[in-house]
Amino acid sequence: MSDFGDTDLSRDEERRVAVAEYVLGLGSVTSRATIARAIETDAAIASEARFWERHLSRFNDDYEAVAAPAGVFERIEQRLFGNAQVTRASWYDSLNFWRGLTGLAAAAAVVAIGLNLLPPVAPTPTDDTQLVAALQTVEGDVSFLARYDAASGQLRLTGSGSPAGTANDYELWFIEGDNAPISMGVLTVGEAQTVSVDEALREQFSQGITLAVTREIAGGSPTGAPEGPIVAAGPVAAI
Amino acid sequence: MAEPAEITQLLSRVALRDRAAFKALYDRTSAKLFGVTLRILSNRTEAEDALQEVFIKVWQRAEGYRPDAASPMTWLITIARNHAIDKVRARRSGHTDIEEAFDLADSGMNPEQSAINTDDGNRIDDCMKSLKPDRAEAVRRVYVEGESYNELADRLAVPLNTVRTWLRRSLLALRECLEA
Repeated sequence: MSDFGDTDLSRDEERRVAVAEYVLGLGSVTSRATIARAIETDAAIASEARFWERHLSRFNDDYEAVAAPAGVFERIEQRLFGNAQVTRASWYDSLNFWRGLTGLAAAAAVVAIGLNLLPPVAPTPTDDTQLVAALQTVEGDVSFLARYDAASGQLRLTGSGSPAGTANDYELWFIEGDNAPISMGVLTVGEAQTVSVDEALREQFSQGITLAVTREIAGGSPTGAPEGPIVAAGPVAAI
Repeated sequence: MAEPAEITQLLSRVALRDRAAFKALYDRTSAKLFGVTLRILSNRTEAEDALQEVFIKVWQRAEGYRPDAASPMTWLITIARNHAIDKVRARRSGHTDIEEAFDLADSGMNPEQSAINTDDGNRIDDCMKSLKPDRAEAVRRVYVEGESYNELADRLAVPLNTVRTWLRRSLLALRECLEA
């Protein structure tokens, strides 16, 4: 490639220059695509590119902000999300929707339990009222079924749908009325699991509260409040 | 909250598919990114199309943003510049830039280790002063305007090979100074 009198450049220098030229914006479509791929796959080339991006970012001051034409964001949303929902419902709007479906959710949970989809909790001889919740999909494809055992304070859950991904976790929230959601820990899909309900929450665990699941960064929301999108929710119902 | 921290937080929420955060990110950054695509493409319709593509990439790639590797605006502007430059190269058929087969396999380069440094900005200013003024100006112009070697050679009325040789030498000198 050194047909431009640069034969005294070492191979190492050639590569560094090639990355610098790319970051600067030089090169044909095909040579740029070659380097873009190398940046994706080679850590040394990637860090070389980051080095130049960081230093040359000083020149970004030369770009003056120009208000984007009206309607561009709507077209982006249209392309990404289709017609389904042009403006995203807020966290609580979607929650209210699922809260409103108490009867339906209870019926879904009853059917699920009848089909033995939900693992049984230890029998509670003193109280045959059971609290169940069907956490139905709000966004994505994740849903959960939950059954609460008041005697032991154990909540049994099974989830189905796509895993949260390596950088994310699903997190379960206990929501009473308009109070701030309280975290009940992170969940996985695809296997049954038991969540031990905090002593403080056991008294409040009753018909009418809402269970919701959000997708958070791995380990759960760092702030203690839900930050990610709500993926599933449902009211707790007595059966 | 400082603005970069706010944009970083919006990006992390976009990575979680939070559409409200995506809208907030657009409101905060679209003017700057439109400034980038407009400057490079010099055509409002094309710049608007490019802005759409850029935000679609942002939605798709937000998970890959690493706050320790770049400031959030640098990351966003890099996506916008690369997209606009690829478009302008594809468009100007008479002005395709030098094409060659890079031997990038098995780079063997020592990874560039330096982390974000608060004086990075001052460093480039100092190092640019160590270049001849016309060469420093060419480096900055190529970056900001997305100018190709062909356009640079035409504008300066210098043979292409000559322009390329001195620009590459300027980049190597710049790199040595930035690392010092």
